[in-house]
Amino acid sequence: MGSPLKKIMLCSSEKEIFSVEEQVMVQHSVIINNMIEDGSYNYEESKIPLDCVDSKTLKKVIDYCTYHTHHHNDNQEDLEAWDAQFLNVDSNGLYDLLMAANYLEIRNLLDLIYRTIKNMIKGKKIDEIRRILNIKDHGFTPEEEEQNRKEYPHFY
Amino acid sequence: MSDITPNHSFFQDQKLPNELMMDIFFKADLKTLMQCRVLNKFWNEMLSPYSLMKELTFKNMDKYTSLFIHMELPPWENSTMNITSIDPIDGAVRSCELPFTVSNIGWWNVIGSDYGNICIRYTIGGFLSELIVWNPLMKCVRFLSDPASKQCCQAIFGYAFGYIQNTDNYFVVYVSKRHFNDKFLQYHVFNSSQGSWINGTSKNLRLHRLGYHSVFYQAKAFWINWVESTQYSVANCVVMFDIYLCEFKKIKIPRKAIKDFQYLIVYEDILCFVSHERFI
Repeated sequence: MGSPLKKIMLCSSEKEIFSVEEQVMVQHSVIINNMIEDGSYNYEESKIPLDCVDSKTLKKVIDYCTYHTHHHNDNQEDLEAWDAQFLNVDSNGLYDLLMAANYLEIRNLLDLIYRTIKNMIKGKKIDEIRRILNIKDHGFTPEEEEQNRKEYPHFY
Repeated sequence: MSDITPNHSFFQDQKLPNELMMDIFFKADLKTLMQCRVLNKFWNEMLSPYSLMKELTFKNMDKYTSLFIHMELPPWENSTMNITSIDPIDGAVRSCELPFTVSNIGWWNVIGSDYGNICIRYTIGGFLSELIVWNPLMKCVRFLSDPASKQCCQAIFGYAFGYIQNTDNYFVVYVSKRHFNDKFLQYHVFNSSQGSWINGTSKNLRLHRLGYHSVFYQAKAFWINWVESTQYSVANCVVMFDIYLCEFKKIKIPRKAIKDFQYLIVYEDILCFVSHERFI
């Protein structure tokens, strides 16, 4: 439903309004798709409040959805290159994007971020993974930790 | 496929919610996931239940292939305490501690491996033997009684181990014959879904010696039957045991295929008899 040029309004946590093609968000975000489909969105007045997404992150999310809507016929390599460039952000930025993608239920963006984090921890030693995932206290007793080290020496 | 790795190295202040972490771990390779079990106490408990292990095993099925090279030296010649694992991805060789301890007269041997589980027969002190099904990566062990330990010497015996494709149901097969002149063959079959052994006897087949190596394929166990010739043992036929029908069958080997060395293997989903000449 809806013509491709129909616009919807998204409102960031800083109350900044973003106007986006409806098609772009409906295609990517499960939550927004549901909202439009059940008719609770009024094109004249409604703004979708996204209280836990800041403007900077929302802008990135919209960039992602727009690009992937208009370039979904591109070859895989170009899309991956674009994705890599897109995720070239600092860890705070990545975290914010992840939370926003999770909140808006944008499946392919979530998968992309998951893949990135997965690659960050793959093949790393356990202390490094703890550092990456910000796990400060492992909660094992010294004996348990000793046992783990003995059982899985190649992880440490 | 390009590898997407941004410049940043870690999350500084934030902590990812656990359900998102779970999603990430599930998408990671099995090795990384196992490693995450020792991240902290919470993940140790979250990632350890059997049901989860089972789900992961099936999810990751066919993703990794390992190469098992069978050498003529029995494994106990090399070490009584460890088995060697070779990582199929990076080729790293690691020694992996066995889940039991054998004395200096004890021994162990591998019956077979399938879906990441290894079936091993061992004896601690040289007399009573036991069977285990062991997953070295997930560190789970299931102990089974060895039907052979209740019997006296057998003239012929063979073991096999394997899963029914795409199920979590595995079988261990033990076939034996007390004396060459006996009129029947005995079989014992362990079905993991029932957790017990069934046994019975089947009509005679003229067997001489079942090979140490077995293949389990499509709910059937296969061994090579060997006969002694002047210089070497020669493959005489392939013996098949159907675990559902509990029937034995002999499969003839074409005369031409009999060479100095022969072997059974499943290659590209076909059971193959491989043979080659001796090279000097």
